[in-house]
This record gives sequence, C-alpha cells and structure tokens, in this order.
Amino acid sequence: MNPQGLSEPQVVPKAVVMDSARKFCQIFMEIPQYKAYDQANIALRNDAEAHARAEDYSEKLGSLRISIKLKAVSEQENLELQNLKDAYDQMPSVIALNKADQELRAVSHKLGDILSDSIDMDFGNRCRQPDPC
Amino acid sequence: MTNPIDEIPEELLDITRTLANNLAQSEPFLRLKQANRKVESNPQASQLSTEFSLLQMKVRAQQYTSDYSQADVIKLRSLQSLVDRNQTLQEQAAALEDALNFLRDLNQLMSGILKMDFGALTRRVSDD
Repeated sequence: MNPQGLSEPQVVPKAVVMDSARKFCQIFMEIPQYKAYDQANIALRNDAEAHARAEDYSEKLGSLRISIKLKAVSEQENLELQNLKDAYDQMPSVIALNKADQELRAVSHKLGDILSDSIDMDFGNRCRQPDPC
Repeated sequence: MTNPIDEIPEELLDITRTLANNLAQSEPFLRLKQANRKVESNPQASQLSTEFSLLQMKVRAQQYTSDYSQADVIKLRSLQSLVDRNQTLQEQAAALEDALNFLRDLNQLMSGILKMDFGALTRRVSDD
C-alpha cells in the first residue's frame, strides 16, 4: 500500500502477457471468420485460372510501367488493363477471399479497439515495425 | 446490419480483455502511464511538449505544401533542443519507446502464430 492507501498496480510480467497473446491466437484461429479466410486463401492459391488472370494483368502492367510513369498510357491500353484487372477481381475464388478478408477485418477491428482502449494508443498503428529507412 | 461484435464468441472477447488488461499492466505500459502523469503534472514540460508537437505538425504540413516558413523551422530546432534537455520529457520519450518495442514484440509473436499481420488486420484504414 502506498501512503494514500491505494494499492500499487500489479505488474504483469512479459511472459504472462505473451502467454495470453498465445491463448488469444489459439481462440482467434477457431472463429468462423478466420477459418473462412484460411480456406479462401488456400482455394485461391490452388486456383490455376485465377493465377493465369493475375499473370495476364501483371504482364500488361509490367509492359506499361514506363508509360504509366510518364503518364502516357492511351485510353485503349488503360481500358485493356482495367479489363484484365476486372477479370481477375471477378474470379469466384478472388471474390470469396475478399469477402472473407472483409469479415475477418471487421472482427479484428473490434478486438483491436479493445486492445487500443486498454493502452490509450492505436494498437494497429503503433505496433508497426519502424521504417528501416 | 449485424454488428461484428455481436458475432464475436464470448470466449474470444474474454481472452482479448485478459490480453488487454495484461498489456496495460505490463511494466513498459505502467512506466509510460507514470511518465505521462509526470509530464501532465509538470506545467513547464507539459507546455513545452504541446508547443513542440503543434509546431512539428505545422512544419510537417508545410512540407507537403510549398508554404515553407524558415522562422518556424528555426523555432522548431530551438524547441527540439529544449525538449532534449528536459529530463521529464526524455523519460517520457524513453518510456514510450520501450512500450512501442513491447507492442511490436507482441504483434510479431501473434502474427507468427496467425501467419498474418494481426496489427494490420486491426487497422481501420489499410495503407500497407
């Protein structure tokens, strides 16, 4: 007890914090949103057609890189690029992953808020590794 | 529309609250809280910190526009030197650095287990 009669805050050792983080992860990995994301991720990884479309878009983008830098992309080329991107984005496995990603983020935002409130700082933004530059 | 928190299992909310409480009660965060209180109760340090932060934001904003004020930059350097010599603010800066390092370690551990950057998932605006 301190002179004001208030009890001193109990210090939680680092190992205990890390242990609760491990337990958090175990439970987080069991929620439907995490499992759905994991499955959607595997499905996209195994989707050869989606890979081919991603490759088409990537190749076109690569061929236009200099024109993009010079802001000299023609309307036709821009349209072609957009069509290739749309073709990829409209693949069922891509749509499924985006949906799963959004749902997992929605849950994570709420969990992040709980963590942020406890430390009076934005958990997500403050836990980034510093810029190595 | 369903509120996402309604869909979060109670077990996950419980362990999140436990983690949040443990984090807040960890040595680096308790030390940061103490350092912040010390700054708040020191009018000179508190005023210097506010003045420095406001001017720093102003100068940063000026860097994005071309509205560059040499006088502001000189004033900022002078304030920086005062901040560097202020013991209370230095303790606060060191405590903040320790707390952030702790937070990064924690996120690294969690991200390793989850195989995805948990911190990035919690961010409202994804810019990574």
